[in-house]
Amino acid sequence: MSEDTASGRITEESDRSFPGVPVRYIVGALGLLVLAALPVMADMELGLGVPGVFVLVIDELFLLDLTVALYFGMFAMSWDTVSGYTGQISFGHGLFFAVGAYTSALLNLGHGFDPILSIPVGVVLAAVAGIIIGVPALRLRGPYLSLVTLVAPIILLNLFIFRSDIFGGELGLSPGPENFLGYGVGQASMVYYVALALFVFIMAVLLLVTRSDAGRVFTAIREDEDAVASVGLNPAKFKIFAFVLSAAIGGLAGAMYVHTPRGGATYSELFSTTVNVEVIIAAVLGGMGTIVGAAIGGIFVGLVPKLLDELAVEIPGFVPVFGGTSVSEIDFLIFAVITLFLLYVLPGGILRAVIHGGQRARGWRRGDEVATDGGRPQRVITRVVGRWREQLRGDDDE
Amino acid sequence: MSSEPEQGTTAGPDATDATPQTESYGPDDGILVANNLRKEFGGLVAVEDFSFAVEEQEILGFIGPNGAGKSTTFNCVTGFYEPTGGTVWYQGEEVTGKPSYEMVNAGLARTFQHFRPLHDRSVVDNVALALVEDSLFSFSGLRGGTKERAAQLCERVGLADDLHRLPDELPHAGLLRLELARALATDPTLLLVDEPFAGLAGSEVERISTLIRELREEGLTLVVVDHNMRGLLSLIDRAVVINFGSKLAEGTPEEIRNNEEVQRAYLGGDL
Amino acid sequence: MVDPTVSLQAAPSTVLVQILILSSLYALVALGFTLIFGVGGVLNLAHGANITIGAFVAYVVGVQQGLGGFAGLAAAFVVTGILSGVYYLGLIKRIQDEPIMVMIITLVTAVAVEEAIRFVYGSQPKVLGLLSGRINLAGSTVTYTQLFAFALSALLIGALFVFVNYSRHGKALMATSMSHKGAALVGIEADRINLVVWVAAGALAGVAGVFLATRQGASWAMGRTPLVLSFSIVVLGGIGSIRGSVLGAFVVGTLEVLTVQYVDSSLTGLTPLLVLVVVLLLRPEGLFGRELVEA
Repeated sequence: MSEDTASGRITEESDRSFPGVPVRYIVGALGLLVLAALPVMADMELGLGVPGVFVLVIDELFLLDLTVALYFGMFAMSWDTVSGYTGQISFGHGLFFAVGAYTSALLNLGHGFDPILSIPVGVVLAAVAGIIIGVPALRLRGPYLSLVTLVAPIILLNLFIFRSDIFGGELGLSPGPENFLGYGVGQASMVYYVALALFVFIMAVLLLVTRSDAGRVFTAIREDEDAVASVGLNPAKFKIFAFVLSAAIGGLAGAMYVHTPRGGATYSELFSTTVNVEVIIAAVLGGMGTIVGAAIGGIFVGLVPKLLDELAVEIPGFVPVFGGTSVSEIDFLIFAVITLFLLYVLPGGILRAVIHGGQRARGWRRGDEVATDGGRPQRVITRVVGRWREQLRGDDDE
Repeated sequence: MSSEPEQGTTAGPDATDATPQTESYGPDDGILVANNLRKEFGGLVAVEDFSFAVEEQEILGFIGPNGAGKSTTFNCVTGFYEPTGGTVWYQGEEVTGKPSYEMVNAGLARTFQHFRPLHDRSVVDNVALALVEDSLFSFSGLRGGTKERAAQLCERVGLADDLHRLPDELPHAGLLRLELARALATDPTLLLVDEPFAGLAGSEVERISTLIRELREEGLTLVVVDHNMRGLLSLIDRAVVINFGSKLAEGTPEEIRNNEEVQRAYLGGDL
Repeated sequence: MVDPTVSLQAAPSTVLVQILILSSLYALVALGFTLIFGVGGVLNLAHGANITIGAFVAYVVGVQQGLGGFAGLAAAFVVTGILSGVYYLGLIKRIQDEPIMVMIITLVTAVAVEEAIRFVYGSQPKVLGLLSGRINLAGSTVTYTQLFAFALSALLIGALFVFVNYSRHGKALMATSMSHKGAALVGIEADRINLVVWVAAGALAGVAGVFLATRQGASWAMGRTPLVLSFSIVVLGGIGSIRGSVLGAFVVGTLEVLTVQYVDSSLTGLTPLLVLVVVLLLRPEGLFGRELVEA
């Protein structure tokens, strides 16, 4: 009797939450199709219809910019896995990006490894860095863990400067490392397709992980670690898994980036505070704890400053630098201000705002429609450090 | 499963006051045994050489005034705190200082006094989490089986109508039921229930007591912690009273009711 | 951030003078961060930006307008305090119950301020002076500016300490830091207390920025190291405790001076961070943090 009603309720419920294929999946698939079709539209001009104003030409330059943005999107997804899902806010994710990139570049330049070999080594070392930082840091919670992630890259950066003979110091490694599979500026479409394929693959992997049981445990850890332990799950195991997975993917993004025609192994590109900050901005703008949102945010953050560069005709002297710190100084400032504004208006991130806007427009009433990633706007963000405060003030529960 | 030692010392109320600290337990004195358990915070001794044993399939009351060290003892036994000294055995095996998730997997579950639901998901999803395997690559949750099982458990504790509510929408008693369902989902042999009756209305106390009794009938051993004896004494088979971190008395509800030490600790008021 | 020129010989008293001067500056740097963290429960990652703003206000008023170092210092104190208050009212107040939002917004603000300053003033450091001349103290050459910075830092910290512990507003502030709910119950308006704290934190950071700029020049990225320092000091000293922060500042200052004196000046800034990590791993609640005690 009782079993019938219980399972009956469940089925009824799942029927209701899947009325056909949700619009957001269709939109996502369309987005990927557009990305895949871009190289075919080479030399087309997209604009506002007014000649000379905000015209975007899809040329090799643009494809390379987009490639870099895709790797940054990958990096943002890796941040989201650990910070958005398990709530361990990482302030120094650039460390993994840099470890992956420098390892691969050094192996390639110093020892003649082909990028196809050196990149996996970079990924492994980034994962090892994840273990080195993550395992001891597991004893720490909330702001203390974030402090370690804030400090770790600074320590590593100091070591890099200390041993400039190996790491090239402020100027970076010169000449730059080889291109992946030898695809240079001339084969921009290939460079782009490699990035797109990897981007889709990583997104699929992360979606799978975060939508599996492990993902549910991640978000539960974000809510209440003790409650997770009290149902027989080892929070440390899941946290370290998220941390190392995230580190490895961050390393992969860094290593791949460094072997694009655009990438160089300088620490301002790989390591600067800007990289650490931008990845947070990207994931938060897109929506923490969604993966897809982080990916969109990453592409946005990676691309917009460049577009600002290229579209604003008055600013001469285009120098492609990853992360928006280009010679046209003002773009990152504008970008930061736009971000502040968006954060102020859409605190839950762009993705959630769009989904919720769409749902409202179509008259859906259920509040937990974004339930696949377990969070309503704002609340993910609110809670993570809501927990911090309790820990800082001494948990009066115990 | 002999239980001679504590039977010997707790034969009468006067025996308990005489030598409560000298008794000593071994691994086979009960399903859960703590011997000379001690926990210090800095200089503060919260639990002082405290020993007790839980017998199989009993409902043991764990009673003490606020601040007596109940929750600390509880946290030491369930692996949330590492004890400063002493030994804990569970089903004959030493488990002192084992992390909480291992204790749970060994069959010792707990509820929290201050309810700790996961606020971001529905009641049934809260329970479903407890059914997730402690394994990184598990997709059982995606197949729907766990949700059904979780729904059954919710029904078992009386949350059938609240499956898809958020915990924040539940009344106080509902949150307690959720805590119980989540603990039951780990398939425990022994369940520690922390202060279930605090803040409950009289009728609710009765309903929860009935639920606890039913669970015992189904084979569970239960330890119920409370600072208030009124609702508790009618529910339990046996009680251990703790005050200032050490054992004050032990015995049947009747013995506890008549124990002068206990009456004094409660200023004669709460019995 | 230690001035390497003053540290070639190493008599203990010399080292002590260096430690006192550097640590008091660090205490001043960290105080605002501590206050906001302690009372508001949020991490103000724009704290470094306040320091930078302070330095540049002093530069504009003192050097560009030619009104002199002390007018610049006063302007830094006032303007940064006001800006910080306006920032709180305009942006932070609305989201102060969401610490992560505060963190991210202040982080982005910090980046925006850095970029704006770099755009307007360029990336060359600006020289800032207060007093000229130097004095020999226990075998250590100390500039009058450093001496003045030490004295004013000590004065400001002392004043804050007295304010918090003995004035009515100060007690309300401490009450808010301990329990928002409890403070509200006795009629303390958390919002007003928070505004006071943000203004005070800004003003103190402005002054700290001027002193830092007299040591190393004012530059757009000068706020980053102090931010990390503040974070470290707060963790070492325990959350929201002024006394703890001063102690934490002395630990960090001492380590930094000792590193420069006896190890390698190129490792400046690294040792305190390493020690911090070690401390965090051994005592996650901080050196002087509160211990968890059951109620």
